[in-house]
Amino acid sequence: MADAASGSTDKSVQVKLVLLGEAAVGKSSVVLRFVSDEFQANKEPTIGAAFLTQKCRLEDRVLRYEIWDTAGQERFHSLAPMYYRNAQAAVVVYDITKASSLDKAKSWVKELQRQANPNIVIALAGNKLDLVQPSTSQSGTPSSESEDEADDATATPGETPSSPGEPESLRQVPRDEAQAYATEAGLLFFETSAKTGEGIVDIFTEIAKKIPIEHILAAGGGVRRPGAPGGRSGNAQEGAVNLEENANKPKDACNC
Amino acid sequence: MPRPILRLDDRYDDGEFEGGDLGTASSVLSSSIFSSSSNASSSSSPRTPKKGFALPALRKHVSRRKSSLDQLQIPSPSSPDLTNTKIAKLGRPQLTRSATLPKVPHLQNRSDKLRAELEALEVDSALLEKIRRWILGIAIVNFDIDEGPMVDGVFPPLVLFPKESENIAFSSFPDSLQFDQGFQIHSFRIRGEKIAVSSEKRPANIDEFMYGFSYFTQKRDSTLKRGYEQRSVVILTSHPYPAFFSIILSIFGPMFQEHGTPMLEAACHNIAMWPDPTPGTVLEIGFLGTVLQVEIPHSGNDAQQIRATVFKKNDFDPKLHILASAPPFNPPPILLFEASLSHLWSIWECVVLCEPILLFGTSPAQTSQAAWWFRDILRPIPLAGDIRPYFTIHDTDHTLLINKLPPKPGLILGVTNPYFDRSCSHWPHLLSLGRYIPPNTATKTSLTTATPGPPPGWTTKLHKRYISKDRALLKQLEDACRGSEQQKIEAYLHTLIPTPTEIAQIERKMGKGDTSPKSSLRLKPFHSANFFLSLKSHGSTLPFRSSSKRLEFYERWLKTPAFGLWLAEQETIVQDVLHDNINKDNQGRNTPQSGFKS
Repeated sequence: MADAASGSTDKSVQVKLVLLGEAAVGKSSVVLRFVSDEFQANKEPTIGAAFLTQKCRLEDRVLRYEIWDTAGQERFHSLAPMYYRNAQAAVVVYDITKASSLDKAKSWVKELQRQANPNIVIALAGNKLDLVQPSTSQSGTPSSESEDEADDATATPGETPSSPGEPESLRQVPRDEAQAYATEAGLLFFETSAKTGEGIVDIFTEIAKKIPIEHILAAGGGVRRPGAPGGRSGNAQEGAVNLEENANKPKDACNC
Repeated sequence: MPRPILRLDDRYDDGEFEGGDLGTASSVLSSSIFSSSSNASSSSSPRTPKKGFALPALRKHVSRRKSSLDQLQIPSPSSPDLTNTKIAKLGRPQLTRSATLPKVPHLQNRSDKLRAELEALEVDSALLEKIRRWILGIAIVNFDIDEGPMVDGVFPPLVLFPKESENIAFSSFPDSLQFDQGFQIHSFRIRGEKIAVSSEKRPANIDEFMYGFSYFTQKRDSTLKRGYEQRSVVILTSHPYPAFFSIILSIFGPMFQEHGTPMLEAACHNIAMWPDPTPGTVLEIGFLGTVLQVEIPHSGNDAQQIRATVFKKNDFDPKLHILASAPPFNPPPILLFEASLSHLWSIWECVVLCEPILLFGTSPAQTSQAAWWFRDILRPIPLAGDIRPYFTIHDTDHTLLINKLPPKPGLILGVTNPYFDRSCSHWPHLLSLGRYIPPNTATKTSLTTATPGPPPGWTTKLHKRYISKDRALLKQLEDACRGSEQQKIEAYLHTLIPTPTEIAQIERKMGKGDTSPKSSLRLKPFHSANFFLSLKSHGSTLPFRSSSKRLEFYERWLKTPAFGLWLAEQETIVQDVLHDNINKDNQGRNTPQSGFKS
């Protein structure tokens, strides 16, 4: 959870990160996996937004993610700008077993690209990969039947084992399609499973690489807390940011 | 009891507001001292959603609805078309009202709607317990045309006795007109019921006082008979953390105005996730998209001053680094005292000597700010008297505090109603807050001069100053008053006048007491004679005007209830340390014994 007091002395760079996406795609589970390396089968829906922090080491830098895990329920939609305002990163989550959740994700991406900090690093995450992997001993029921459920349906569906033969049939969003969209929209892309942990750390690592840390530092923010995230007083923009790809550098996983 | 002085008269009837003409609203207002009708043209209708918030929400909602309908192919009668209802809501009332029909039922509906929404919210007991570590609840107070301000609901649900509810309602509203449209944050302290046994609907309390931090808004609304919507969102809590709750309100208030109940839910769920308010800790708190660093005082008497803080002064941003028990930063305290700058030394002496002071201001924001500032400069000396940052004629303690008798020592009472000027005319000290206004200033600031009540300044019947003014500091303060906002804050950071830490040096002079457990388990009794001997030989850091003044001042101070409390507190601290030592000692001895027994 939030490592409250310890945060007051470190020299880490603060990164405000927001999670967005339709209800029940597993946003909170993704965060829980990243922050506590845990998984809870039937998480209750988030109200408003939860706040969590996690430190990440990237090469010689320490990043501290201030994570705002927003509620997917429609009634909280209008609160979202509060959470993505001044955010340096966003993870937009959808459920690969539910086609409509990608549409919702796309609309979030559009909203972010139009209204959030122009330098925001956006990652698209297709969650619930475990449901379509034949290798997994446990796989869940398709969530297709819960499609027309109310917004407040909770996360991952039940644990009844399905026929191991054709788990791929649960998939409603082909990987290629999502990847193509992500590339076109300039997003980082991952398929993840909060349940098995697959792909989770990678999201935050790749975001960390893409975040213009130098600019955050140069702007005098970031270290400790002096109005770092983009600045509340209107200095949100640091001009054209050089988003150089660090893909060729040695992989540095987040040290959580 | 006289009614509060609300200058928005209820004298106009519906006809005048048919169509909700802003011009009509401002013409009504222009009869009062305000002439801000120029804002009317630029201000958008209260119902127009702001860009960036409500609009995308609406769009999203609509598009989602469309896509699900597309999938289903059949438009369901149970899923109403959102766009149509919106249009209907935004349209002006079509019916012609007659005098026989109930007049504009909107407010009633609004209150009812809010109540229903609040009741529908679920809170489980675990969550409730977590929220209650910080707050009792958030109350929504609306203005009812017949009853005046009324508490429409509290979330999480909190049982309030009728008198408490009325007291909260009136204390959360300014009792005079502050502005045409806008908001204001103030605080109050009221006496409630003593609750011995905790329940989900009302936790037990140590004392019966509760603090209210109120975000009051006023905006034009032609659908209301009054022509205005007036509402306060009030954080009720047992924690006297003015700086902290003011910041929280400044984030929450506007958001609640915009988003309503979901915001209330979101805020309370955030609060539930906060770490415990453990005394003496620095906490990182996430609230509605903002991260705050909050320093919780060790005790109510902990002097939380900038220079003593763990936060680095260079990085210090009062909006993000919060000394919970300090006064809020707005309005800048230095401006409140501008008309009394040269008397600050006298005022400080009066506060320290537990003299009762009537604080008169034009707004509750001013009086509560000044009251908290008084509380702050008193630290680390305990508060011996009663403090009411904003006190109204409706307060249940009104007859207790306002009567023919001399006011009780240490009472600090913040008022805005000119009525108090008369009913407290026998009080020894009156501080009227506000800026010094030269006679011939522009009309814009004439608001303050035109306000009834005593003109800004310090009036005392008895007090004669003991310490010398620091002329250089005074000059600096006067400059800061004319300077930039930054300079005003700087002046605040450097503390306006000597703090009672100097007084606290008495501790040194009276001797720490023997803390060795072998001797008597007490703090060495305080002997004023020894103290004065020590004072004579060591002197004082306070710049007294003469040694006789010094003697007089300390003689008086030793007789104040605050000194008695402070002394008792020191004794408790010493006792606690001794007990701890003894316990450790005993444990040390007991360990082998218990081992032997098993």
